[in-house]
Amino acid sequence: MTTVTDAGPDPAVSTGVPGLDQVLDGLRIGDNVVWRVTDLEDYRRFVTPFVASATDAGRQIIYLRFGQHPPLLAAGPGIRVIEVDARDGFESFTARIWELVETWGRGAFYVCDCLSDLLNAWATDTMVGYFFRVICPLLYELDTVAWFALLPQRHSRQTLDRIRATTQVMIDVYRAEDDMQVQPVKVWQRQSPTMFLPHRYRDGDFIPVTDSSSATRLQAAIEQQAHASQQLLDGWDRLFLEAEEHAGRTRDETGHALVRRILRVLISRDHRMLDLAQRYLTLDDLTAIHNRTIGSGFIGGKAVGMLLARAMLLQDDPDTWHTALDPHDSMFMASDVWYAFLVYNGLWPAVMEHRTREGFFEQAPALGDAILAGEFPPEVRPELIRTLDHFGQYPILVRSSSLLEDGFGNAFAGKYESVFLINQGDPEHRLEALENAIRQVYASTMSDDALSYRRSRGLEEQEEPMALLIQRVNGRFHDHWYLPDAAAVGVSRNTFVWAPEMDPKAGMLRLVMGLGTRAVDRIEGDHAWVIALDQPLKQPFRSLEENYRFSQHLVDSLDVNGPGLTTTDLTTLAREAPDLPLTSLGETDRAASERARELGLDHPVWRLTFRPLIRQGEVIRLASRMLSTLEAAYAHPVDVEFTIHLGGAGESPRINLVQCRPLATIGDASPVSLPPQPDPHRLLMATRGHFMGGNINLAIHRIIQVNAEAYSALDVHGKYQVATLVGRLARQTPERFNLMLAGPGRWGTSSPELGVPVGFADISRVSVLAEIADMGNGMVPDLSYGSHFFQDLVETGIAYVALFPGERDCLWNPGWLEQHTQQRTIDCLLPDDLPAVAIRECVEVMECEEVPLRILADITRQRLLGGHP
Amino acid sequence: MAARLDEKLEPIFQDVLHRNPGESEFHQAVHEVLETLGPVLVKYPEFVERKIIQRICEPERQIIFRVPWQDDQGEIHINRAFRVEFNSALGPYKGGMRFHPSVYLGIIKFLGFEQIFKNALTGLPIGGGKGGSDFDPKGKSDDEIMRFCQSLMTELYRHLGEYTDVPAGDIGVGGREIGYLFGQYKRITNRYESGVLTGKGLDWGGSRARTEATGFGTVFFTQEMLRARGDSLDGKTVVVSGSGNVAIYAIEKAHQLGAKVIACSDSGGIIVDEQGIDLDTVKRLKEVERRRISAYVEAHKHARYVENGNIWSVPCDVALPCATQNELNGSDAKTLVENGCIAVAEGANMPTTPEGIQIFQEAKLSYGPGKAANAGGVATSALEMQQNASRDSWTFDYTEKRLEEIMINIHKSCFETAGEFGSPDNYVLGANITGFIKVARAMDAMGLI
Repeated sequence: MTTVTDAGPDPAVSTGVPGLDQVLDGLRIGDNVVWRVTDLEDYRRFVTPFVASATDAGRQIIYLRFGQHPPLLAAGPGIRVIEVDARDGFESFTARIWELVETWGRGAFYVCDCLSDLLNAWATDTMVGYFFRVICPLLYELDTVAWFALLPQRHSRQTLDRIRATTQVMIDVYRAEDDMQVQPVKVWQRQSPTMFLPHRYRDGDFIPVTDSSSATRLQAAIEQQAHASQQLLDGWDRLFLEAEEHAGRTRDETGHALVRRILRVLISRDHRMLDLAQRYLTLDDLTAIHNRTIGSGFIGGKAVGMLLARAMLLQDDPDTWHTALDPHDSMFMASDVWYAFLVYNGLWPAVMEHRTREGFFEQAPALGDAILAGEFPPEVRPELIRTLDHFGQYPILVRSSSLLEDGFGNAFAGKYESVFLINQGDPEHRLEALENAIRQVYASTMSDDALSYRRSRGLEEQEEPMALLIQRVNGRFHDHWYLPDAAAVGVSRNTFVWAPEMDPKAGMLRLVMGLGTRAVDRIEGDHAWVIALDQPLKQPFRSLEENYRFSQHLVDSLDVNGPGLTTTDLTTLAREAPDLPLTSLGETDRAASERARELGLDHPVWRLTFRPLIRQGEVIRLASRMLSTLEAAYAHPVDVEFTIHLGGAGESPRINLVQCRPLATIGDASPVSLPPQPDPHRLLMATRGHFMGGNINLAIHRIIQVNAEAYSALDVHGKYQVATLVGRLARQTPERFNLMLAGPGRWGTSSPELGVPVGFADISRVSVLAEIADMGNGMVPDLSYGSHFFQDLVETGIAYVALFPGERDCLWNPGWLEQHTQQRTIDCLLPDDLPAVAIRECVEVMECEEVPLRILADITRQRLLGGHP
Repeated sequence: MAARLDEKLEPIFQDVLHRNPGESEFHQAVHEVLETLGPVLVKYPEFVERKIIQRICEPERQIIFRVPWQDDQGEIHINRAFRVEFNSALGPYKGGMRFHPSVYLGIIKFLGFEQIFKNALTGLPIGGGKGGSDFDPKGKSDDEIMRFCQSLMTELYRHLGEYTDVPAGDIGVGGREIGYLFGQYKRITNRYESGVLTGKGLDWGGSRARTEATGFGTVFFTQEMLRARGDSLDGKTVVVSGSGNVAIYAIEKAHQLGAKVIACSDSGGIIVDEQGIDLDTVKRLKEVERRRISAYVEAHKHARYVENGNIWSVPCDVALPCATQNELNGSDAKTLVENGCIAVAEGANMPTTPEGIQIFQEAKLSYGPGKAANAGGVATSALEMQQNASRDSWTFDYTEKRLEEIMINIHKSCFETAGEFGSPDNYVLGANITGFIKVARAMDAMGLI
């Protein structure tokens, strides 16, 4: 018989099997008990008496049912069965278990399904280990006893070690021939001379195998049995080994099944993305992704978008794209690393507080700070070193690639950070910089902006792990500056069609020299070059001077001797890097060059108009082809980011596609759904074509309308006063209101007889600008299509609509406003310095905060509706 | 509400309305001139007898023509162009060409009518005219602009000549367009007739100091207004709205004359630099880099940038509105007066609202209206013609000297005329009447033509 040593004051809890109690010296409150079994029936055999004993003792049993194996228990007196779906991912599952344990509180006992079944949902043991590491301490703290089972042959040694290190009790159960034997592997704070020996089950007792000869024979038998199935590798790696073994045989059903399995754990949970991935990604592609992936789990939406788009292009026209498209050599840090990081740093309790309604914003700063101070799990660091080795000393970009990012309806554009690294210095320094960059991107998940976006789109409950896309920055060195020749954002539907003859379907580009940050971010005071792909040389300006003024003056590049990402004015950069390809990207501004010469400044002065590149034609041709191919493949308008590498003499430019996603919607989450036959009585306005801004689903809370007839009756000075009044009212509008301006003719014109001569600064916080082709005096003005401040509209993302009342497909029904809005008197909104009555009478302010006016626009159908459609 | 006209002038105005239906801008311009002429007719009854006013209101010649052109896709477009040769009593018709969709005959007549008196005010031998087209340069490629200009000149050339009609630029017509127009004129006529257009490039017949002329001229005019009060710009604090050509060179000349300009602006906001605006920075930002004025503070940390700020709230002795129409309203005028401003001169066209002008005049502040204070631009066009006629190219200093003399003369004429008509210091009255009298007297002298 086993002699046990008293290990402490904790009251013993029975396993329900007296013999086993003797072996273990009973269980203790707080014990997590992990059964390593080769057959789940063995686990069931121990669970049944344990539950009977516990319920007899008045304990509440919670059976956490998440496995695919037959149930271990049925609900009954004292036994509650709670089903939890692991397929929603690690975070949701773990959070749910956490909440249950907290809900049931102290003293409840838990029986869990076999942890190995989680592999079916997650495909990775690493996260099984981390799940255990999160939940175990909580169970311990709450004075519970919890039982788990594992099939050890399905897990890597690392995971088994992690679980062993965390649990209080771990017991191996073996079968040798008909004998069942148990061997406690770990029994926390308990010991005896024979406790950790194998015990053979005999007539209700567990007899320790005390002679070494028997023990050796027994062990040999066990090892022989275990040897064939014991894994050195994580289930994740085994999945991809299987994929590699299947290489070249991807068309058979097994291959298809394997692809489907991998897509669900590597690519996405969204069925639309999965459908696309299934069409365009092969098993070989997936294996290649795995070879570039750190950790397990999803590679995130941004990475998926890039990979899918490349695959779409190469399948569509291999001849063109194998030549024109630079291959990528990005690395992916998968989503499980994010969770591992949180768990490893003990941040799960904080994550759980953050997941509550009140904690969503409140806990975020502290959690963000903790993330910035976190350490990487030991298994990650060698991978980071490998990543740096891969990129050498080229600058790299650490980009967010969260699970939901760049998906259908949720672009998360600009919500998370991306960090440029110049990647210079000794390896330790570079590793530290990389780790800091990753922390920074991780911490950006806790930014107000990102959280507000999630809440506004109802995504706060959804799992949103952060994966990373680590890319070599495309470009070349010019002395100590590193930058791509050019970069662009492309949109397959031209959202800013500024001339009636332009075809929205042709798409548009925002082109910059240097890093694409200036094309992606809308930066006040500086402008990317906007190109309508069907009329690429046309610009919405009236003069060369305007052309030059609304061009890119500042260039983003990496100063590898300095701080990294740097914004430099073009003249300075051109002086310091005389080998920049300016003759391909710009032209000299002769007037400015002349002035520069006179003033003793650097000359010639270059303007980035990209005309030589556009005239050369290849980039425009490739961009058009790329956008139309991707839109067709996505069956949805897309936006992309790419860099351009100019070829040498006689060589064509090459493109490096770094991002692709479904085109986002202004306002609420897409998809925008326009009623096919809207009731005209429910509409303020409707038009086919004649709008800019893309897909729109936007609530409007205040409308400022200029009365055409009253406005036309004013003299020039009066018209200017109306513009001033509109500007004051726009600035006075509360931040929470989305504002629409509607008025006759051209907003922002310098000729007041053609429309209201506001300055852009007056209306920069407006969401929608409506120009109505009716001056109220019989005159039909030529609308501006926003061209007076076209660039500003593009940069600020203000939606624009031109309405031609009386024309087919156009509706403008100002009477609707009287019925559905409340009129505000200007005297109340502007307490002092009121203009004359005649001026005030030109301007109406209407509000509809409770039931907002809704603007819906579908760029594909070229239809815009406003009202209560 | 428009002011009532003198009883002798009302029938003339009614006749103008009748003969020019639907041209509201032209009607307004004629009315504004007629409003000021009551006292003139008392002193010069012969103008009534000889029907000078009726003759002035009728253009000598109006040309309307078709301009067909092809866009880059080969599509054919037809625009309409105008040249109104309004009055050549003092010299060849002189006035800009405007390319803008709002252009129609009424606009061109309105602008041409005003141009007669603006040009006359300079005291230089130039008549008045204006032209343009409803062509919209918005979004047109370089090639399209060139094709349009060439097509337009193919018809217009027969009406032009250095002694006949000398167009210049205006809205939508800058150096590029003048180049295309001149090139086509030269090609068709086989004559290098430099004086047929002004606003040319310096290397091919343009004048030095053209860029600086309006800004410099405004400050010369201001200096004269202050001199008339027994004062000068020396030591004065100045604010200049805008940061385009007019503003930049107003700042430069003000600094040269001993003033300190402490604020300037652009459409985004204002810069206040109590140490004095550093003009090199402004020139670099605006003329070379073509950037926003907000970048000024990158080089001058002590300066303040106020987004959407109101420049007229910055206390100053002298204010020079050089940005845009209607930028200075009654409230701004009141602020300037309360802050002790003693002089306002307009570098821009009609920057002050009527309420603002009234407040300035009531406060007895020296107010130089744009038609006089910004006549430096027009004057330099005439100087360019003089250089072309003599096949000469003057130095910058000589051109500037001539400009200064012209501005001093404009001031003198306005000041003396205002005094002659009983409103000393009323430069608005002086400017309105001076030009008219010069033209009217010349017409009278030339007989019934």
